[in-house]
Amino acid sequence: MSDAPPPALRAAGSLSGAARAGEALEVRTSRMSRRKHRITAGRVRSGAAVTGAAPTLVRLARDGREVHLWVDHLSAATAPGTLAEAREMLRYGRPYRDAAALHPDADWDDQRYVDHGMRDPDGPLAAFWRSVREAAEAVGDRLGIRVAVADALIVEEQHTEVFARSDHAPRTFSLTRIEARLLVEVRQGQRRTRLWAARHGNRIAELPVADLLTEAALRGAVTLAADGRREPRRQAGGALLLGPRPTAALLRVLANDLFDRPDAPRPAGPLRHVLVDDAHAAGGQHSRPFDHEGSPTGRTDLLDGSGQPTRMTVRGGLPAAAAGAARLTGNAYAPVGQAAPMPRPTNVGLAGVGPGSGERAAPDGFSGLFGFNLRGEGTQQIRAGDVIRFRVETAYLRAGAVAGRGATLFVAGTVRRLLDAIEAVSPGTSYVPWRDHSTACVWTLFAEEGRLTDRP
Amino acid sequence: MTLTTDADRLTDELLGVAEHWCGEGTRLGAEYAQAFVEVTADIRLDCAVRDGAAVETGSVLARRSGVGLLLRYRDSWWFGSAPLAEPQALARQLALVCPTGPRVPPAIPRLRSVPGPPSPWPAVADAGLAGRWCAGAQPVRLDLIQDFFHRYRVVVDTRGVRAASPVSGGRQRCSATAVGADTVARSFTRRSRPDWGAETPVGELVESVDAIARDAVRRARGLLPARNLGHRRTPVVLAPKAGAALLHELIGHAVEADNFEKHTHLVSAMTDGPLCDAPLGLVDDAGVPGGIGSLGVDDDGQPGARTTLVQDGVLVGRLTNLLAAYPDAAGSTGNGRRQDYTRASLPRATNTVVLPGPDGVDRLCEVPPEGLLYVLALSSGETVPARGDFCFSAAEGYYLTPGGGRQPLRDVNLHGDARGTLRRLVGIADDVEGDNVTCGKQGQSVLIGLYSPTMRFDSTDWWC
Repeated sequence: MSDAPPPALRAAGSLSGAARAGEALEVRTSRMSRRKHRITAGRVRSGAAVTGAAPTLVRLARDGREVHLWVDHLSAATAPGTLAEAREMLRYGRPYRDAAALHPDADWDDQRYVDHGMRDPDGPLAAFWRSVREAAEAVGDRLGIRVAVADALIVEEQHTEVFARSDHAPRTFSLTRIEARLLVEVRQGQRRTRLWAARHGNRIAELPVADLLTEAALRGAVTLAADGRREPRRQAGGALLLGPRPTAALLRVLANDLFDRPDAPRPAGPLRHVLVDDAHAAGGQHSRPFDHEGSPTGRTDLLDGSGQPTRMTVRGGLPAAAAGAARLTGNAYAPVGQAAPMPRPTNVGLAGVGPGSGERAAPDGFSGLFGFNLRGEGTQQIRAGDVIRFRVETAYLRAGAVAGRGATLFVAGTVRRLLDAIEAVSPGTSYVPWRDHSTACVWTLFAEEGRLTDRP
Repeated sequence: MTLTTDADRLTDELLGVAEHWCGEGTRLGAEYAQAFVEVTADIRLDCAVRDGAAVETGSVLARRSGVGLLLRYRDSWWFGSAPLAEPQALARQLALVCPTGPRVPPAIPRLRSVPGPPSPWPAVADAGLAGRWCAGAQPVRLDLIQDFFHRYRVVVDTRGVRAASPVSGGRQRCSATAVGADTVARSFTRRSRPDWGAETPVGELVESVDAIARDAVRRARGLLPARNLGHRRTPVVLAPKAGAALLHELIGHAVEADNFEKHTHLVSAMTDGPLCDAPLGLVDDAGVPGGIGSLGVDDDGQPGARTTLVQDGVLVGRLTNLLAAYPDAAGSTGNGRRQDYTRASLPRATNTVVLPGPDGVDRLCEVPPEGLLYVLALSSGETVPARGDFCFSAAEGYYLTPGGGRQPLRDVNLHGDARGTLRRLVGIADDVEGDNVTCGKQGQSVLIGLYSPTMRFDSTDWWC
């Protein structure tokens, strides 16, 4: 795919130079090229790259008020009209306050976030396929079942973003997003099942293939174990190991709660695992050196070791009383075509901080409940109160292998209660991308299932 | 804000672009070609109320102008899109499938004849309403969002469709948070009208904001003493408007042609005999007066219609768009809808309407010994189309006891399977009311209307 800056990126720089005295003008624009590769029986077929539109956010500020315009195309021809309209809109503008940044400006290391090897994809894709086949065999041997990959679909996105200000030189960064979707076949005796499983990363060579296949193989084995059984076997209590994909869904609910209800009371007290937002996470699908207001990004504890949240701030709507003390955390995010920048997470994960919080959650050798699917977490964003609820479909693992289907758990708790119940998490550098942020795809161990389930 | 309007000139201009691309599709050998062109001006004005004072928190104008081209080419469907100012981008996409390459029309840099929105917000902030909303001992915070949209859409295809549909309207949403000693309670209210636009008196918009804000504050304060009850199995009564939201998820999405033709477990179960004993009537009606989903022609240029989906408890209809009905030219029910020009249309609801039933509200609300859940407002829901599993959350509900008690509940969750839940529909009243919501499918959001009366389901599991 081409590295040449598209016209919209050049136009961003020219528009930012058009500010009048007393005006501050910013332009943020991004462009994404997408290409699909398919690997079937080792044969690679690569599609052509398709470059999408370049949605552009223009901010004009004057006399302490700011207004934002979204346009789906910015060029030398369209820029004057856009700027004139922004000036007309200023009378509806929101107040803003400039504030100091929490994080220092950091260099953006392309080598970490951009997969330059995919310029010529045949070699990396062939190596990826070899690693997939080897991992499938190893996972199958470990679990005592046959695991094979019938098909692989690789979606490669090259994302480029420019931020230009009337009083600074334009800044830019690039990021590669790789999604590997595998069609995994699991066989046990005469029975077999097929399912799709996926992982995301910045570089294809760093995708956690063995982890992906372990989760897929266990899910497949659960399907085979459920065949012919009308009622799932009920297991009471004990440890619950949540798979990577359900963990990502859980973290999404927790992060949304902290951002959507910033003023909700959060009980203080030591936590062993904290919720971390890291805009520089390796493998992060929303990694970036600066946010949509141009503020430098970094790593911030969303809920720290004492259980207290960090208040995420953007310039707009910052209360005057708080302006002196608040610092910009680099979490400004403006959904395309919809809204002005607002605080949103980037890449959210878990980190152990307290005693006994080692990274030891893993399916190998585990005996207990395995949570392989979450249901209902998508309905939890618009809530009246503090309690989060969702269902978890489970199976029973014995020494790391599926021993039977488990009961469906109805999990309920506040953010605090759910975090308190975490015993351990696995290391990991894969993140599941949602619309506006990503969440870590890791194994999570809850010591006691009863601490999670619903009770009056 | 520029308010010069020349709708006819704009429509002609957009039709010219659509005809060009439709013609190029035909010239390159497509069996069918459809070009959809739109120009939009959407305004969002956000406001927050803290410590009794209002402050603007977002003022955004979003302009979108582009073309989406759908082709039936060599027995496959192809879709591409580009901004009007960048026609060569669509030509590049098209050249990947049609090697002879299309001719590119001139770029249209900017259309300024789309009207702007009214400017209600300064009047609201200046009216001193924020202090009134926050009056009282219990601290409260509010977040208000006002959206106004103006969209000109045209569609041209090789079957002779040549349609233009200006779409406009507005929506106001409010969330109020009541702050207690160790907890908070939120409530959500909204109102939308398709006739809100540049000509709407500001006073009408301010009055509407005032009404939804006061309602949200009252509800949030009422929810503060809510308790956690765990798992219960009782009859569930859905207030007017709430029932349509549930049936839209359980039945409405299943009968969309692209879902229906997957012949899933849920579809098989729904077509295997009556859905329920109650005389349920469910229609999709694109002609509801004031309905936010009402439309004259859909986004494929097909006339909007009223489609019966369920009659006397039996599934009888489904929703189609042009693509799903292809090649049957008359097979579309006029339900092709899309979020914007960057996507092809999908079969979607317009206004989901539960027809009035024979039962009285008092009888439906009779409380059995185990109590009854009365759901005033569902907040969001999701269904797994293949299996029919659903999850719904209700932001506001009440647990009614045989002794006349009325315990406020927040965060009620209903989980179940669609087929079993529909079988437990036992009563439908005639007090139909309407609501307007955002519905998501395959990454596309559209506004739909929901209309239903009070409805009762027996023996339903819920968690709170």
